[in-house]
Amino acid sequence: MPRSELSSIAEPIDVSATSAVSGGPTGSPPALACDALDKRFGATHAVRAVSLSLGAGRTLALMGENGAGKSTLMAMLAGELKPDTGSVTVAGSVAVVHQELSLFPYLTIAENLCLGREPRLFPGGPVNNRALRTLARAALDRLGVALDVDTAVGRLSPAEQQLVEIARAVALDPALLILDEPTSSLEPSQVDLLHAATERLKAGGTSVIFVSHRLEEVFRFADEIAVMRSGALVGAGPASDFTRESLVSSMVGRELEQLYPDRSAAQPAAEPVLAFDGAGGHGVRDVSFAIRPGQIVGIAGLEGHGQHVVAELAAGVRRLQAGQLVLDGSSTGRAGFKSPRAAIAAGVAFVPPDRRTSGLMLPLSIAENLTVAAAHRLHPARLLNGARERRATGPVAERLRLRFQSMEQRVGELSGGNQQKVLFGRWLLVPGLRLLVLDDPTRGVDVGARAEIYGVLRELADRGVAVLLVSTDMLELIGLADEIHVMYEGAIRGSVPGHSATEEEIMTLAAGAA
Amino acid sequence: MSALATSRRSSPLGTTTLAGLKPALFITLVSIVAVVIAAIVSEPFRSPTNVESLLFQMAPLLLVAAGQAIVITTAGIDLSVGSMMSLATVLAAASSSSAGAVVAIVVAVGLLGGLGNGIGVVSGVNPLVMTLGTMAIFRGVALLVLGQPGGVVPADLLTPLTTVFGHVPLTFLLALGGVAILWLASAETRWGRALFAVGGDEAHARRARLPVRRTLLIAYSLSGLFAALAGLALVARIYSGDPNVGDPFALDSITAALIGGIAVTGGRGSVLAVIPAVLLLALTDNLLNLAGVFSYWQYIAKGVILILTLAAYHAAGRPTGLLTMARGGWRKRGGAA
Amino acid sequence: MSAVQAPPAASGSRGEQLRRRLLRSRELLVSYGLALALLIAFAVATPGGWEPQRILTILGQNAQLGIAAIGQTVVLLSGGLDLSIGPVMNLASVVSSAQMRGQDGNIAQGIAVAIAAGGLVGLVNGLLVSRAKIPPLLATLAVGTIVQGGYYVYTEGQPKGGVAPGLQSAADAKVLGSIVPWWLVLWIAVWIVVAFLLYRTTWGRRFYAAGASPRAAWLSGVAVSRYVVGAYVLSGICAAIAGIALTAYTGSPSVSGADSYTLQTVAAAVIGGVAFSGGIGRLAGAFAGVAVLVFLTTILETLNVDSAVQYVVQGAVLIGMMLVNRRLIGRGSGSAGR
Repeated sequence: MPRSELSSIAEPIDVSATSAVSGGPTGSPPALACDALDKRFGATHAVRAVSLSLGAGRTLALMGENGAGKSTLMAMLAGELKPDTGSVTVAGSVAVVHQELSLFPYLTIAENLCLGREPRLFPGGPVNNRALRTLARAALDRLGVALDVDTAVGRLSPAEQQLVEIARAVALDPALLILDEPTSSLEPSQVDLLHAATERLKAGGTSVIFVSHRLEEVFRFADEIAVMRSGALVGAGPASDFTRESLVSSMVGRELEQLYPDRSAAQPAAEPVLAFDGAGGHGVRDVSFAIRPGQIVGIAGLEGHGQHVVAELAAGVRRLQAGQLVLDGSSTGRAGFKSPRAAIAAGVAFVPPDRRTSGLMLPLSIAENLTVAAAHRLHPARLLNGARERRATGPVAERLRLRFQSMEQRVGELSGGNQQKVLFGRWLLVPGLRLLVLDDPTRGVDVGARAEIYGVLRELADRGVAVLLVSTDMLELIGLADEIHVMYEGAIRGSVPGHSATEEEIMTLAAGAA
Repeated sequence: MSALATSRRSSPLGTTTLAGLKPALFITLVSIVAVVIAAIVSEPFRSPTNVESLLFQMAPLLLVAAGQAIVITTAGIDLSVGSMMSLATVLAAASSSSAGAVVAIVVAVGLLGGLGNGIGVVSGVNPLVMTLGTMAIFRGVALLVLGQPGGVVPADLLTPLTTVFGHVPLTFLLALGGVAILWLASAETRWGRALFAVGGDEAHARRARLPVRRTLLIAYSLSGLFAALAGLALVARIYSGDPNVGDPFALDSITAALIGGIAVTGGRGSVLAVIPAVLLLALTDNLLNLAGVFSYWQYIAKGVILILTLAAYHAAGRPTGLLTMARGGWRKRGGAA
Repeated sequence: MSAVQAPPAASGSRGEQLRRRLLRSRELLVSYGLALALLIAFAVATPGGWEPQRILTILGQNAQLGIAAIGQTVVLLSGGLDLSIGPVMNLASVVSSAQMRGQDGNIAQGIAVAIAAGGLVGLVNGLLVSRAKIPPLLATLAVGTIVQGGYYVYTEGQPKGGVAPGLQSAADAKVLGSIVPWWLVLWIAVWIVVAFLLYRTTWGRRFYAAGASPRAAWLSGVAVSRYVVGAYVLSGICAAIAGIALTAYTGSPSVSGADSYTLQTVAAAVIGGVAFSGGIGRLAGAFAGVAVLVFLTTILETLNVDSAVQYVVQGAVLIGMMLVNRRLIGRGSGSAGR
C-alpha cells in the first residue's frame, strides 16, 4: 500500500490553548503518582527508587539513554511488571504503545483495533462485524488517520502500523497513555498528526507519558520532563527549565565528548575495503558508497526505509538482486556474499540488532558464545583446548571490562550491556577482522557499557578495521561516524560528513525532503 | 482490491474469515476435480455402496481434524487425539449402559482429557511432550477398559450411529455440522478472534490483555471433545471397541489440517478447509483400496502427501499456509515501501 | 549498573566454581536423583535386587533404548525431534535379518546394510528439516510412516530371513569378568564417542550453538544445516544399531517390535533434562532418563502391574519431569516459550 494513502491531519486544532507550559503541576490532583519504585533483574538494578507524579491532562517526556531504565519504569507504571518495592497509583486505566509493535499482521486493522472487546450481536454471541468496522473507523478518525479498516495490518508500512497501534491505545480512553518512542518510524507530517491527537487527548483530561530520542519533539510535546540515568531519576521539572544542552548532559551524565571517543586524525586509506556499487534488492535500490580501512561509516534513516537491508547485504545475510558488492577492488560475486560464513571468511563480521534472538545463544555459556565464530581457528586440530581458550578469551573480557562471575555462566543471566559486550567480543577473537557491520548496536545498553563499546570501536578503527554503523540514534551517528549516509524509501537520499552533521540535517534527509 | 473491500464492508462475516475461505475454495476445487476424475476412471468408485463407505470413512476424520485444526491454530499440536478416539470406542463398547449415558461419558472424558492437555500447555509444558504423555495415558486407560478389540456397543447407540439417509450416513452429516460449528466459533466469536491472536503471537496477545490461558484451555478441550466424538463416529464403522483403532488418526488429522491450509506456525487458516482436505485424504485411501493395493501402501501415500504439501508451501516462498500464498506476501522488516 | 565496572574475570574460589557448575546442571541432578531413587526402590522391592550383576544385566537388556535415546538427544539438542526412531529400528530389524538369513557369515553385511539404511533415513529427515524447512515433528512423523509402510509392503507383515545365531549369543555374552553385558559395553562406547564429539571438539561447540539459536549461529558463520543434517543421520544410525540390538535380544525380526521406542526415547531425553528448544541439556541426562524408564518398568513388572497401567505411569512421569525441568531451566536462560 503506498505511503500516500495515508492522509495527514484531519482538522486543525488549537494547540496553543492547551500546550502552554505552566510552572508545574498545581491544583488538579495527579493522574499518576508513583512512590519509590525499585526493580532488580538479577545483577542489574534496573530502576532505583523512582518517584514521579503527573497531573491530569499533562504530558511528561521521559528521557534517558538506551538502557537507562525507562522501559522497565514504564512497564511498572502500566502494571505489566511488579515492582520489588514502591507503589503506583493511577486515576483510571493505562494504555501503552510499546516501541516494539504488538499488532497481529494477519488480522485486519479493524480486528486488531477491537481485539478482546469486539462488539457482539447479542451477549455471548458472535461478533458483530458491521459494528466492529464502524468502531474501528471511529478509532482511526480520532487520530485523524485515513486507512481502510479491512486491510490486513501486515500490509501496512511501519509508519502506518505505528499509527494503528497508537489508535488502539487511544481507543481504550485511558487516563494515562504511555508512548514508547512513538515517532521512530514517523515522518514529520505523521508526527504532526500524532501531536494533534495527543493535544486532543490532553484536552479531554488524559495524561501522556512520552519517550523519544528526538530533542525537538520532546520540547514540542512535553509540559514536563523527567530524566533517568542508570535506573535513577536524575532530573525532573517543567520543560521550560531545560535547554537542549542541559537535557543532554543530564541524560548522559557527562559531556557528550566523554561518551564518544575522539575522532581519529589519520586520513583513512584510499582503497576501500568494501564498496557498494549500485546495490539493490529487498526494498533498497541504487546504493553506492565505500567503506575504507579505519573509517566509521554511518547509515541513518527512519524505521523501515531500508537501512537494515544495507547492513544485511554487506554481511552476507541477504543476497544482492542488483548491482554488486566490491571487496578489495574485486567483485564478491554475482549477488554479494553467499552467506555470513562467506563474509566472515573475507573478514566481514556482523552484529545484528536483536542480540537476544539473533545475536547470542542465551542458554549457552559466555565462553561458548565468545568462541563460536573463532572456534575452528582457535583450535585448529578441532579439539577443544581449555588453556588456549582461556588465554584467548581472558584479554577480550578484560578489554571490554566484561562483568561476569565465571566463563561458564549462562550469557542469558548477564545484563543487557554485558550481553552486548559478549557479542562484540566474539568478533574481537576472530583474527583478520577487516569490516565490522553493526546494526543498532547499543539498543538497551546502559551508558557505561556504551562508552566501552564506543571506545573499542574507535580502537578497532584506529587499527585499520572499517566499521559500518546502522543506527536509529542520531546522536550516536553524529558522535562516531566519519560519514553519514541517510536513507529514504530504500535509497540514499544524501550524505553528510560526521563531524559537522546536525540532527536537523539528518532528519530533513530522512524525511525525504531537501 | 477496492471492489473486494467494498463487498467486505457490508458482509456480516469478518474480513479475515472471508479471506480464509479463499484457500478453502481452492482445495475444494482440487478435491472436486479429483472426485470427478475418479468417478470417470473407476467404475466401482461410482457405486452407491462405495460412496456410502467413503462418507462413513470421512466422518471421524472430519471431526478429529477440525479439533486438531483449532489446536494447530494456537501454534500447538495434539498428538493424543488418536488415543482419545480409541478410548471413546472402548467406552462405547464396554459400558453396556444406555446410549445417553455412553454419549455423556464420552463427551465428559473427551472434554476432561483435552482440558488436561490444556492445563499442561498453559503451565508451560511443550504441547508435543504434553500430548505425547497423555497419548500414553489415554492408551493405558483404553487398554484398562478393554484389553482386546471387541465389546458390545449398546443397540440404541449403534442404531442412530449407523443410520443412513439414502446413501448419506447420519454420522457424516453430524460431522459436517460439527465442523461448521467449530469454524464459526473459531472465526466469528471473541474466543475465536483471541485464538488467532494467541496463535499468531502469544506475547502480543498477552500484552493486549487477551485471556490467553482461557483461550488455550478451550482450544485443547475442544480438540479432546471432537476426538472423543470422532471415536463415536468410528464405532459406526467398526461396530465395536478397539484400544488401538485410533492410532493412525493423530497423523491423519494433522495431515488433513495442514493440507487444509492451517499454518503450522499458528494464527492462520480456516477450519472449514478441513472438509475438502479430508475428502482428498479419504479419496486416496478409497482409491488405493479399490485398486486392490496392499493396505500398507496407504501409509506411504499419506507420508508422501504430507511431505509434498509442506514442501509445496515452502517452495511457494511462504513457509506455511495457502492463505499467505493466496493473499500475497507480507512486508518484511527493513523493506521499504 | 554503574559506569565503572568491577575488576573483570572475577572467577571466585574453586568451591564457588563447583557450585556454579552444579547449578548449571540442576536438571542432571534431578534426573540422576530420580534414577537413584528408583534403583533403591527396585533393590528393595525385588529379591536379589542389590546384586550389581542383576542391575548390569537389566541395563544391558535395555541397551537398545539407551543407544536410540542418544540419537534422540542429539536431535533434540539440534532443536529438532525424531519421531521416526521406532520405524527405523524395525527397518533395521527387517533388513538385517533379510541379509543375515540366519547365517553367522552374513552378520557384518547385515549390520552394514541396516546402518546404511538408518543413516539414509536420517539423511532424508535432515534434508526435509533443514532444506525444505518442514517442521521436524511433521517431517520425521511422515518419513517414519513412509518407512513403516515400506517394510510392511516389503515383508507383507512376515519378515524374511533370520537372526544369525552368533549375533543372538552376543546378546547374552558378558565381558569384564563375565558380569558386564556386551551390549551395555556397546551402549557406553556409542555414548563415549558421541559425548567426545559434543564436548571435546569445536564441532560439538558449534553444534550446540546451532541448536541453541540457529540464527545467531548462522550469523556467526556456523553452517547450521550441516549440523542439523548430521544430527538426524546420527540418530538414524543410532536407531539402526538399536534395532539390531533389539533383534539380537529377541532372536527374531519383527515389523512392530520397536513401535514403542519413539515415545520412550523422547521420554528418556526429556526426563534427562533435555529441552525441546534446542541447545539445552546434556547427553549424560539421557543415560539417567533411560535408567529411570528401565527401573520404573522393571519395578512395575516385578509388582505384576498391568502393562496398561505402565503406559499411564510412563506418560505421567514424562509430563511431571517436563514440568520440573521447566521450573529449573525456566529462569535465567531466557529460553521461555512453550
